[in-house]
Amino acid sequence: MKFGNLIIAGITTGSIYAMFAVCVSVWYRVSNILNLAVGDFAMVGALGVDNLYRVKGLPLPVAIITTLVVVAVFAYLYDQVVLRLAQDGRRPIEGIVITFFFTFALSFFIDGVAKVLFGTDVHAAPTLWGGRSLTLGSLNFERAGILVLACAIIIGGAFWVYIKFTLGGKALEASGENSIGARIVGIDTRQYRRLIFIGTAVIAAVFGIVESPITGFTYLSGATISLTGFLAAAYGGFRKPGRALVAGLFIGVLEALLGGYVSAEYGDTVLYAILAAAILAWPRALGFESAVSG
Amino acid sequence: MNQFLAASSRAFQWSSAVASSRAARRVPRGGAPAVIVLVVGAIIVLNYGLQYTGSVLVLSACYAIVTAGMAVQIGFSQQIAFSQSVFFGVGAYGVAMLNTHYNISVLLATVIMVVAAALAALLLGSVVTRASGLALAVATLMLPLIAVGYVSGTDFLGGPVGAPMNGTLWPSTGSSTTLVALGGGLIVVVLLAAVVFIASRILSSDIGLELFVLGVDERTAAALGVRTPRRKLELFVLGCVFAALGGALYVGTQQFVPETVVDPTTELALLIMLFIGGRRSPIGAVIGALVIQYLQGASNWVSVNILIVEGVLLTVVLLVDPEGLSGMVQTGIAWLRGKSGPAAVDRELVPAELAAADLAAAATPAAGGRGRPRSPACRCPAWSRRRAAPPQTRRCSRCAASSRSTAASACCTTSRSRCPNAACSGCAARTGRARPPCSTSSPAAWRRRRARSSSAAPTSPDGRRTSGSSWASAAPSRLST
Repeated sequence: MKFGNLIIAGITTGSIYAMFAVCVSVWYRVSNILNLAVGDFAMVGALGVDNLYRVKGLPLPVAIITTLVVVAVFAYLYDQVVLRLAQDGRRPIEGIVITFFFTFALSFFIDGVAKVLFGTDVHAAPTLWGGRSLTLGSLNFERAGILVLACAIIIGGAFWVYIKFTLGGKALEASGENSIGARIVGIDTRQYRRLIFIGTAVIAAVFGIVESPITGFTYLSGATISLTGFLAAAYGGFRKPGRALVAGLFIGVLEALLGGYVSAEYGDTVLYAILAAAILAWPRALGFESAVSG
Repeated sequence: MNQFLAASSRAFQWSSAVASSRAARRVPRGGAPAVIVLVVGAIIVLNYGLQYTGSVLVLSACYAIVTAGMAVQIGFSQQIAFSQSVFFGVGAYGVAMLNTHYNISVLLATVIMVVAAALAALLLGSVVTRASGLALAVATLMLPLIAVGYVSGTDFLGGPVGAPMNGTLWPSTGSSTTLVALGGGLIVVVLLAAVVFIASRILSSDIGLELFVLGVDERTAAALGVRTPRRKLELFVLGCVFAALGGALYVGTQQFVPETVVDPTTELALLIMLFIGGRRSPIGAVIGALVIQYLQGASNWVSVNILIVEGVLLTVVLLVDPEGLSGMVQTGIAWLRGKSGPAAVDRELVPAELAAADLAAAATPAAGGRGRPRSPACRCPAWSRRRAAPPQTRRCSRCAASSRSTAASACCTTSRSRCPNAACSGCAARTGRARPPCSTSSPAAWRRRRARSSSAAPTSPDGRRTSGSSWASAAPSRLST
């Protein structure tokens, strides 16, 4: 049952990619900024909880809540100070500078702070649901993996309900379709930008906490996670969270299968080559219509 | 409009005088930044070449070669391709392998690798540059990921450890270590100056204007006659060749290739250098590389917390000016000029305005503008064969004064400039009227002319009956004396 186990592992990592991709693409809809710091919030979540629980000796729930609050406050401050200056001023910055480089700088900043606060070693948040992995026939289910999947389904479902069935979700969709038009009809895109930014930062931190027992985090892990989220979001055309979700799952499964059947060493290389070839072969079909301009 | 016509006619007279003078031919455009880099770099290498500071500066010059190419490719033309770190690695590993395994001298290996990188970039680019915008960015983002996966698993290249090299950039047989260090540094500085010269020369040429339009909007550029696929491929090859050169010099001066050179983090570091220095300016890119590398090399709290410093620096610089440090300097100069004369040209103007602003700036020699005035022919990229339109002697239909070509200043509106009714700019300036619109000065006149042309039934050389509008374009041959 190698195949079944690989599929399970692929779906677990894929759901992580998918959630980060959804975070990236939902925020890109409202702000036209790619959040390249989303993985760094995950890293802060994992290492922060570890630090508060293991080093400072706080009880686990307090540690988790404190970390999440700190992440949310930091995201709020960043939006209020940097993004407001950059986007809401008299001379808003446009084009590739704002699309990539502000959150990119934020990512560097968070990494640097994490290095000072948490050191350079590999750590992980304590397992929330300890015990041996569950077996069903010859299939193995990691408990942490089940938690990740459950979180992904709950948060993904909540997102879906929010976008489909609430007024806020409709406004979100409208600002994704046409940001200027949305502002003309009275949707406060700035408010949504702030709300979604804080929301995705907290979601990313939650995923970091849940996922870190599987892989372990260092202060530099954030960039890798952001990158995979960015890639999966790219295959959803950056604006379509649903497609980003599917793309994330697909990349996760493909990665596991290539690692299992082709080569453990060059599996990732082959994966990225396949992904690049796919973009070049069908740029339109994969939703790369919207070009960065300016 | 009238003022613009008068100004452009003056610009034409003045610039044709300058273009034909010998002083203008002696210093090609883009020479000044290269000379500055050469002189400053040589002074630094000769003074500090043997100290730690000097080695940091030589290292930053290797990166600056790459970022100068990126300024043309990513900053100016907005072709966001993340291929530089890979070709940096190609250059570095290639030279190390050629030197270690085949005993080829480093300089020769550098030449070989640059040519090889150009060929590889041509092959890769012809596939990759079919994509545009974000597709190009995402597709080329895979390249560092593929490369790092390949290198870390390949023992031939040293795997995760890296590849050492014995040879040095300066041919070292029998020469002292001092000479090797200083000579290597000087070679790097000379090549950096050459790269800066090529980059700024491209940006200030007509191709630069085509690239600018390409950066503003690809479809607009294609509509204006820019051969976008070809230009994109050329840009990709340019960026890759400079990156390979930088990598080759890196290994030549450091004698070691760590695996991290092909890492995505190298690409990110290069991007930070570019955007802090100024994404559209080669000299800004050089300064950015210098600043970042110096901060990383400084052994104090800055280099310990380099990530925080880089993050804060990038945020602050981009908030103050999206064009980076060089943009700030330009704004400062413009502000100083604004106190004494007209403001400098804003690079964000659309090309037509840019051409107009160029001409206007050239018309007032005291302002200086962005340097020397352009040649008189149109700066519109579609028609930008600059010397293709020689001034013709032609008689003005209105004041009968024989004048040099009145067409040159407005060839973007081609049919209008060939309009027989077009008054020469001399009499337009005198009467204070702009040239009359082409062939439709009044509906009645147009009808009269149409009746005359249809009764005479003039035919073009290929036998087709010409319509009213082509009458206008056929006319100058009759009018010219």
